Amino acid sequence: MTGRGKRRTSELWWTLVERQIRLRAKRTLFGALWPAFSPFLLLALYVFVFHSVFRVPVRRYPVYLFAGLLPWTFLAQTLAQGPTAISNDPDLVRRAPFRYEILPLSLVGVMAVYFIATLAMFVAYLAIQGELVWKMLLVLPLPVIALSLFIGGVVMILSIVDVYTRDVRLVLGNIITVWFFLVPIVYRPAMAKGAVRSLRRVDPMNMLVGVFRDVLYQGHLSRPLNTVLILGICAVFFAVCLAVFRHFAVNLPRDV
Amino acid sequence: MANPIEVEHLWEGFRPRNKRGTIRRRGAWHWALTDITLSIEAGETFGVLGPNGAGKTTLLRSLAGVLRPTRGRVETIGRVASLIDLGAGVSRDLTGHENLLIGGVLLGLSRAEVRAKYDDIVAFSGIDPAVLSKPTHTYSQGMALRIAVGVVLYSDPAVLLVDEILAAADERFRARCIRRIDELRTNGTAVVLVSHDLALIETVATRAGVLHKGQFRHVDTAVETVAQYREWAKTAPADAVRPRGGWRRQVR
Repeated sequence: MTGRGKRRTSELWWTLVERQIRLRAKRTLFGALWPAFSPFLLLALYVFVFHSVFRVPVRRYPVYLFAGLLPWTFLAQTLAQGPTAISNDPDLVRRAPFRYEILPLSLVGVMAVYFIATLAMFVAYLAIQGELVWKMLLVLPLPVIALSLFIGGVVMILSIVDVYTRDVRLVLGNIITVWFFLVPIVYRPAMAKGAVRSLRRVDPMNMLVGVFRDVLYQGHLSRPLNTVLILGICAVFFAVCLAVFRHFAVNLPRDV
Repeated sequence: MANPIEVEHLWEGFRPRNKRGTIRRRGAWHWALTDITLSIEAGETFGVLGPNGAGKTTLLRSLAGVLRPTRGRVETIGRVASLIDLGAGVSRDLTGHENLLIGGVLLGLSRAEVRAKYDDIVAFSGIDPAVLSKPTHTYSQGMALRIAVGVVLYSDPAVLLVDEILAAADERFRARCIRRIDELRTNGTAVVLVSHDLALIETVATRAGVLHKGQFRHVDTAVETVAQYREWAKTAPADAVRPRGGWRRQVR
């Protein structure tokens, strides 16, 4: 792609991100604040269920839970809308030629804005409580970038699959729910045994939640090399998904 | 110098779909365009005539670069701006100003370029700038159309593709659009104009072609082509765009 092409692509991406954020704010009282606050509502619910009722034995449980719930909410909210990222805008695809991956990636951009806003609120809370290890803020961009790349890859694939078959969007909610309980977000990793533990070894979300928890809850990296490794894995995953997307997107205006 | 539009043996096909709308691996393709060869010079206006389903919009989409040729070659030089599906990307909840910016960026303009042309576009659309800060759903369809058309006509295109869009505009705005298109053409823009308005093609186009069942049946001067098309329309069979297998099979 030429320099002008790259500039056009990035401007279009940002314009679509801005458009979606503005659209979500229209005809609402609190506008774009809702998606940023929804993880706090989930936090309240899960703290009640797993801390007060089931008594999960974890010290500073709300902080432990939120450090895992925050990246998970970014993933779950984006994936829930991912399949329709292209199917909902067929006229846009038929109107002008552009890099079609911009459509799913602009959705990731929008959700990333909300995610970073919530993360900033959480970091501010930790700082006020005196529970923040300041030097860990230098590491924080690594899992944020890795998570965004991972979600970007998955959403690109979901959006292109949905153009050809709508089955994925119908079953995705169930998959996300099962996935949520496989990742140790509401419980300690040691509490799961057998097959679940084996499954977790190959689940990038398990690794990513672990890094977020290291940074925001533990205050130190339990495996520093893993943090760099997960960033590399997510970058490769994104590149592979982008190649697959572009391969199938050649006939998108014809097929959408 | 090469012409801004060069088309060689262009075929555009669509894969078959089943009743649920999903694409089938097997089955006959629907060929919207078959073996089109066309060359349009800078500063030329080429009119395209033809019945519904003849492949006119598919031809424009191919020239716009939206559809890749299934076979053959399409080459355009410079920025291509198209007045096809102007509603795409327009969000009724956004303001006219916000939609104007998105429309411009979609056309390939930078945000700075859109801002630089903002006053010209607004003046051309004839809409009060204060109204543009209100949501688009508070405007009539015609006003929304004016903004979209203004963005396209002020994007400095080397190639301009117009698809029957002016039919929805009122007489004054239509005249303004035709004047602007003529200005662009004088400055070297190659224009392709699809219309059922034969008088418009006769007055605006230099050359024209009749597209029927995906093929150019007649290409000549606009006046000659319109005359031929009028004759053809009188004698054309009623099933000119009849689907494969006939209407009865489709209904069943």
